[in-house]
Amino acid sequence: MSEYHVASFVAYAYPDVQAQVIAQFKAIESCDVHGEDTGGRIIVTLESETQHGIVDGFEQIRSVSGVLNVSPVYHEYCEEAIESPRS
Amino acid sequence: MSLSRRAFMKATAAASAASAVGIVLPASASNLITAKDQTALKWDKAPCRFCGTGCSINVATKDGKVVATHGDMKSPVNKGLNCVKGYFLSKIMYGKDRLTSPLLRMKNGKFDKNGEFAPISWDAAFDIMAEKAKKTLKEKGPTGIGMFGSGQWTVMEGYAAVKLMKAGFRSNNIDPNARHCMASAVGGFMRTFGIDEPMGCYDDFEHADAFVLWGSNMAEMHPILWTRITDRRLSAKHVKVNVLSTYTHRSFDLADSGMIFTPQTDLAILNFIANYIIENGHVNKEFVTKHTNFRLGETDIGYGLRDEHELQKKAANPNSGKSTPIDFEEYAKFVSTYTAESVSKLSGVSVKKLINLAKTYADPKIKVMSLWTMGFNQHTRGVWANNLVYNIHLLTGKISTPGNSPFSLTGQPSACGTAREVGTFSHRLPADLLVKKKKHRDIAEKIWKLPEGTIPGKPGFHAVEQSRKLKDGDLNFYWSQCNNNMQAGPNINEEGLPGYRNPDNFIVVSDPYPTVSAQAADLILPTAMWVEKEGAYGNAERRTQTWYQQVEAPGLAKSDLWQVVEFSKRFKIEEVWTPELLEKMPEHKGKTMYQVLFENGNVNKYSLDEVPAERLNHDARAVGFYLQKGLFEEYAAFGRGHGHDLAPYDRYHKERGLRWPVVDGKETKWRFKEGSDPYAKKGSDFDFYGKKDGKAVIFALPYEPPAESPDEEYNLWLCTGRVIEHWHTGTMTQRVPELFKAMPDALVYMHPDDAKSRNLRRGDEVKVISRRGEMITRVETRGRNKTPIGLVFIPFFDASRLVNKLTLDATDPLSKQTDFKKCAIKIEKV
Repeated sequence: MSEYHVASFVAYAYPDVQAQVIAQFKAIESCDVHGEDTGGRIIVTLESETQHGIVDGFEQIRSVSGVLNVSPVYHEYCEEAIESPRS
Repeated sequence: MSLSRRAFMKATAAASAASAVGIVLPASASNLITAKDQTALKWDKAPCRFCGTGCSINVATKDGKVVATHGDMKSPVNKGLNCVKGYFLSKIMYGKDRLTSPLLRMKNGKFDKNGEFAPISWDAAFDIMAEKAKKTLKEKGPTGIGMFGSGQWTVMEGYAAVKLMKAGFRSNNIDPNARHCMASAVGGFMRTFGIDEPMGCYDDFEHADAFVLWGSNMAEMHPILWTRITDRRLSAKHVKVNVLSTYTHRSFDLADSGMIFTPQTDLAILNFIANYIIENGHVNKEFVTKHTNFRLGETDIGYGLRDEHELQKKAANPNSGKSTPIDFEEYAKFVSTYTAESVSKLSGVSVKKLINLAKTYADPKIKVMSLWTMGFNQHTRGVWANNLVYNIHLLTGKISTPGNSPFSLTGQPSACGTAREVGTFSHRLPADLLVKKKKHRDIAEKIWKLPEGTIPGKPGFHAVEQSRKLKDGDLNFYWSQCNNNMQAGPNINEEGLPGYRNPDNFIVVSDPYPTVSAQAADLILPTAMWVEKEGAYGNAERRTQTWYQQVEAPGLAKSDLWQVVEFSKRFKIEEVWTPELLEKMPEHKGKTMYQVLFENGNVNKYSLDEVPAERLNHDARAVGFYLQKGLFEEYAAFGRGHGHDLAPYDRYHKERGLRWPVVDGKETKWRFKEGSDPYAKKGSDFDFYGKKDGKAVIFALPYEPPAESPDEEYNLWLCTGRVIEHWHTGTMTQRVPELFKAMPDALVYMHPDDAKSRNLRRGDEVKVISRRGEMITRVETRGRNKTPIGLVFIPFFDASRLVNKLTLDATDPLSKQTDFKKCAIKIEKV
């Protein structure tokens, strides 16, 4: 049995550095960027095998230069054995 | 195409975040959120139990355990968002060292102050408590009994405790930890407006053109409100953010103007702004004439230390809150010495920045919101600092309208709702009533159906005084709930622990975890937390919120409410009241304290039929009536019709909170403004009805130096505070291994030059020494808290490194709130 955690966040950056911030997010392995608006708000998720991994990821995205604020929104985990991508 | 479980969860998470802020995602992800019910989680709402913001959280339970949390989309406070503390709410109740049985210090099967903790039954726990309380009553009378409560108590818990102490034991020695946190804010409100709590609300965030943080690191301490400021700043280009502090922290990231000032000089900066407004002709004369009075406060009021302390003896008017009326011209003359140049020299903030800040307030076109927390409140002139910030809002008439808002933030989830509104302070009763006023005591006694003269008229011991009285052996039976004062209280070596370990005293601590305080006690009672009970909290913007019990507490853990109510059954009313008092209501003869206080026709008015059948509600089922509703409704009787109106209890279960006064079913967003506050009289425009003449007070108060400043030997300022991962003393958050790992030890943050001049490097082990104690820690010269030369910062969450062995128990002489933000220390290499 392994755990799978996923959490979503809204990150905030000044619009003039938004593109650079997103590029840096994408370079973080567990981080996916799902959407953004023109006002500096970016939707990201983090995945990890542990909750601690999510916290590490949170600190990583919070520390990206140009990030003003990060708000967690949703967190869920499951303990099932890992499923195949096509079930 | 079906998605794998992982992809499904991820899409759900992304869709939740996107919809919280109104961002549209590609179609593949957007319709998945409804599938949440497939996961067999049972979702319900509850206010977060951490800070004073009052976010609503959706809580998911499965098999009797909380397994997930989610920012509540329906909440007007957090609008679906969460913060990193709230994000871990689901784990706070499941630490490995959770207490599940009462524990008593014993030797050879009997209580012994020097014994080891051993599990006992609730019956045995109440037996020894009652025995010790009765002994104290006999020897010392009611003033030998005391209680230390909390802004984390639910409204009902605080209310029941006030009744137990003030009407049952007839002792006013009950005070909340909010004394360390909010007392100066309360003092400021009462002195300026005559009624407690902010006039504005969180809606101001979306209306303000400028924000000024006066000693508050909102980015870390109030992340959700900071998100609302961030949103406002990003979506409206003209909006400016000003941050003042004694060191650089994360809120400076968003600051258009960041200002580091020398500790205590905020008083001078505030007076400079008032002077600038006057000298440049920006006084809103109509507002000032119609709605304000001017008064000159007494000065040189000491530092709230023991009366025999040298600094107290030196003060001309120790502890004086007196003031005399003056006129506008006299006030203008008073502040005229606070020029940009002189204040710049004193504070270290440049003239240019000071003038820009003053312009923000002076310009009639800029709507400005001032925000503060402990930087103002934990201040030996905390009440003054609060008065002075109201001055500049009143001089310009920037108050009680959308976006114009002096806003006092709170640190605890119910500092407002319980500590302040219920009045769990040693001098207070519900709804701003005071024990020293006969008329106010009469009101309380009438509502409580008790004889005239039940409540003593003399205020009891406040928080810091309680510690002193324990040490001196005047206070012998002491019960602490929802607290960790042996870690959070000031000067614990000299004024804290000696009282707990004094052989004359019996100390009871109700706690979910073995905190420093619990371990210093004689009896530990295991406590139910948060959604393990039903309760209500009140947040910083006057919003009252309730929640249902959602899971059972572990083992024998019981709510603080149950503990208080159950304990009252152990006393015959004859054992706590004098025969003279009982003679006034002979029908109470032979009853228990429980019957007199809680089976009075009010508290037991609502039957169990009103508790939804599917709800747990241990406390109500234990007493056989809807205890929480009865307490809430009896309490609400104090404020209804008097500017503190609460809605009927049942309605709160359906709402994401309501801001009082709730009149004709409608909440109030901006108080004191005609049209938005039903209590503001017709034709008044503004009505500061807390004062008899409807006028708020502008106070002439000077800058006065702090109790202790660095000198040649103790050559650094020490400032203490919080960090985001840990909430206050870390009792709950340190049970979440992930949070503990993220920030395990309290470091001393210092400027690289200060380190260098002491031959120290980052990571070096050092001894931090004050005149009162010392602690060992490590040097940090980087990180997100950047201190200026001459000042160091140490967070206070770490139980293994107690920074409060160093702090001075200097308090604001008016509010009695401790100044944790400034004392003098030195640092030596180990």
